[in-house]
Amino acid sequence: MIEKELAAKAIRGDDEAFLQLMFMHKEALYRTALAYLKNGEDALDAVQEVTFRAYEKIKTLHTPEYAKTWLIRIMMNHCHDVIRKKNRYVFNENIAEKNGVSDDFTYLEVEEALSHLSEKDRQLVHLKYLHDIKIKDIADMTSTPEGTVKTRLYKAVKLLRDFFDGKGAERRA
Amino acid sequence: MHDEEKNLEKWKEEIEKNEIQDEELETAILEGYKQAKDNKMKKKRRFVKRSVWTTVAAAILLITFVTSIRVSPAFANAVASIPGMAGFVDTIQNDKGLRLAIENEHFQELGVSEETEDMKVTLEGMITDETAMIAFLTIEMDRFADHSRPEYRILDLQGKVIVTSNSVGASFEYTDTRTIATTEVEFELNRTVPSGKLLLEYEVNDEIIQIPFENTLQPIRKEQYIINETAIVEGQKIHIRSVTIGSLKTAVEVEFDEENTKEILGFEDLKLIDGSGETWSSISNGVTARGTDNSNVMIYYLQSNYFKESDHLTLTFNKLMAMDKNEAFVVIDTEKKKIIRQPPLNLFSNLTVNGSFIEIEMKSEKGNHHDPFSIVLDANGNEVESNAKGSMSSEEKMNIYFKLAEKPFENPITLPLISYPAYINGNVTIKIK
Repeated sequence: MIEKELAAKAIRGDDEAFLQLMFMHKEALYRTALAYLKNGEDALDAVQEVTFRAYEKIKTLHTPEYAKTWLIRIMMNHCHDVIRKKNRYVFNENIAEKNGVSDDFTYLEVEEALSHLSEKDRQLVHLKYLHDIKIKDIADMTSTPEGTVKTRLYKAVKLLRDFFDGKGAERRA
Repeated sequence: MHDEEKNLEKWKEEIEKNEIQDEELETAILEGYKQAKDNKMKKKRRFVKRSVWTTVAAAILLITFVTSIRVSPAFANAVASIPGMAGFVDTIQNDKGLRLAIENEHFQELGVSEETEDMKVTLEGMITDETAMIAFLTIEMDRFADHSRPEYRILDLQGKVIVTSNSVGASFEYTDTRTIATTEVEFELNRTVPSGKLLLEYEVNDEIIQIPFENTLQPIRKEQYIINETAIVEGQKIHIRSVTIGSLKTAVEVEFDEENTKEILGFEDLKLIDGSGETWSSISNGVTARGTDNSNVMIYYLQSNYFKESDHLTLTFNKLMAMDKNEAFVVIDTEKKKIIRQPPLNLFSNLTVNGSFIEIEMKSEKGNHHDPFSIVLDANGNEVESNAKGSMSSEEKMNIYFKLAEKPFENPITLPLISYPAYINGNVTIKIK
């Protein structure tokens, strides 16, 4: 409830509400950036840039209840742009080093699998599985029928499964 | 749960294992917010202090900016027709001294640029004074690069530094990939400005751009008037020592009597009036005052009337910002997270301490959002380094935040006030010529 009120105030031009809203979702934004950019410095830059864009565009957010999803989507689009512009292979050194590489390489495998999805599908997986956003909310937010979101998500996850299976098959072979 | 969902679950856990630096994250958000604000109010200018003075004097270098400007179309057209100068119309229009300098052709058009892979710096032009100069620059840079702490210097052809900038004003425009900063850089030398060939150096993130240029402007000779008159306002003695008129600004040297019971923080309406009734008020973009080695002596800057001939000149002022000497500071304890002492109006509240990141709220008058603080002193009176300083203001309050250096210091800390809504009133007129 509080989030909705803050977002509503921010949309009306209340700067303090806007900042509170950003602070409230800073972790979600940072983690999204980290998942895409693999590097804490770049992730911080992305948070700064997304704050800038969000402030400029907040008036276009029509449904205050979806502020979080809206912000995460700006972040995902921004990260996608950054990666495309840098046009280089981003290796997740930091994360791998920091946590020690897990024996089963799950994290790296998932990342690799995700990189084979279309950007649209990848965003969908992020929203659902990293941020636990309900399918209904994603549907409302993107003005897509719930059924369509479900189907797309199902297909995306199936692609991931195929990828995992393929990997598994390779390894077994 | 299917395998792929388990995998996604693990993936999420890995991402969530990464520690979050709250403070850095909040600083990034505040930076983004500030940029957006700047962009929204393109006319609002951000000034950055650069110290060429001693620490103490730098601490009382007062800097200001304006938010709304009335531009005369004829003048705007004239300035805009100078190549590269269209972006500076507001700044110049708003300062009579700069306007007169250009109208009197004491402006050097340069338009020289140098670039590296991700930035381009153009020196559009310059105006000199006897011992100072303003350089007009357009800086284009990669949107995602960090350009937060640039340095500007003037060098001789042997590469020896002649002077480092002492104030920088910039307004920013953003495209999807680039940031364009329209920047005025002010240099104050301790000698006359050299003529002939020089280098302007721009340094950011270990990257250096040098732009060769030639100063062919006529040297300026400042006119100094020794005044030595004393004015008394509500019992406070104000000695006007001298008035020095240069081509960029007029300097008024003032000594506040040691015996005064009030700390005088500034003049609200100091101005010069010439024989025809025309007035020359305070500098509105840039350095408005600075301290000297004597803590009671300050130099206040007015817009220049150098290029305007006049037989009569008077200095006047009525209202001063002033408060009792034993109340002109705020004391806070960063360990106990408490405001220990503040002036009786109790304008300060909501102190938050987040590591070395400090934020405090101040009730303010509408439209008056001057940062009240300048330096931070520890319990022993030693200066504590602070950076990432800034403030955000809404109509009735402002939030001032700063980050203290990560070095040990002794609490409580004292923040001397350099701006506070308390005033004294009088009616002073002093004849200069």
